[in-house]
Amino acid sequence: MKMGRIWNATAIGALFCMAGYATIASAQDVLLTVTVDEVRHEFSLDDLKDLPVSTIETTTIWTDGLQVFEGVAVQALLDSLSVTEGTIKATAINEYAVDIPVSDVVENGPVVAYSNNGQPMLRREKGPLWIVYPYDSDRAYQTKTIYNRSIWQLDRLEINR
Amino acid sequence: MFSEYMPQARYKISNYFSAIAIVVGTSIAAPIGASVWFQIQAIGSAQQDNAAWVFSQLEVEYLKTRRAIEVARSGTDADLDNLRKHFDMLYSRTDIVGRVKNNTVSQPDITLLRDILDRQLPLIEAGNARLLTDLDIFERALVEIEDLPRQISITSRSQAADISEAERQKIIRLIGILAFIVVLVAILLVGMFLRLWCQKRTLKRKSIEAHETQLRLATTLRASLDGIVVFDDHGIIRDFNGSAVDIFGV
Repeated sequence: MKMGRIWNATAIGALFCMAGYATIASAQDVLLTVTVDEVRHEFSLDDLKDLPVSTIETTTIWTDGLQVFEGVAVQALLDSLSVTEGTIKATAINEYAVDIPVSDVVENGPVVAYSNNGQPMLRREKGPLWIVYPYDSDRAYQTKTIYNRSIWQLDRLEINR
Repeated sequence: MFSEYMPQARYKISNYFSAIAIVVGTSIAAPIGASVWFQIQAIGSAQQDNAAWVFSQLEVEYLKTRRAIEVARSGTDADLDNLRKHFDMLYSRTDIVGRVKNNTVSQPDITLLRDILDRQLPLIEAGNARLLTDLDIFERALVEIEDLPRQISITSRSQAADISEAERQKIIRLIGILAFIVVLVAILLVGMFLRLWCQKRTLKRKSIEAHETQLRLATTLRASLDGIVVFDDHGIIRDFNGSAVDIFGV
């Protein structure tokens, strides 16, 4: 019994150690940098969660079964920065970059997701931020162009007006 | 009588033949058309990411991770974090590659790659000091699998090309059959149109002839010196001539 407790304590300790690196950031660390005409705006997970929450229920070609994504609609994110026009360049941690036309930024459009099925996403699993489109809602969202724009491990948005 | 009956019989037979041909043609064309429609629908929505890109990225991330190991030998926190970052990229790429559809030949290699990466997780998630100490172990593990990313890429692309070619051939075959049936039905329809057009001309001629006959009979009736009154089955007077008017004084 005593040994069991020690083992449990060790296991929990190990879990915390793992969590230190496995969850890539604390809620206050900067996850997303949005540059609007050279002006930098930094968003932590908490900052993103303070913005209106959008939920997308959809299947994706990269996952199994129906997924529930929670995040900030790109439209809401741009609204919070008073951006209504311009070009959006999204860049991932590995420098994968893609241009997202403003025409994509519509109500019930793409979302900067920070949680998948109620869980935060690890960097090892396309997280911590992933631009997700409501693929199931419209066949127009089931194209390779849209899949290319569905950038995961997102860490920068650059907007030029 | 017999000679008049024959053309009608021929018309009937050719009518039946055309109708049956059109029914058969459309009933063959309908399922093939549906099949082509579903194929077009399938092409209309992309079923997966760009496979060529996914496989090339697996190799890229593998090489970047190998380079990050060398850089991490400096022992700085930033370089060790950079190594963890590239490992995470490689790990996520392995997951994506494993999800590419119709990619059975590479699955054992992908599973092996995933297993070996899984075994590195405790080291990657350990503190910086341990990661730095065991960098050689980590590097040896990656060196052991250095052929895998390229091997996965080559076999997967080859299988993807075969599948894509087979699908292309299937669609071409379906469209070919469909085009043949459409041409056949179109020829039959044109044939039927021509026949109807001929029938219309005959009908018009007959109607003119009938009209002329009727005029001739009417003139004969009017010119007759005998009084003629025509009754129908119900005793109603349908026609009469001038002589009849004179006789009856109506």
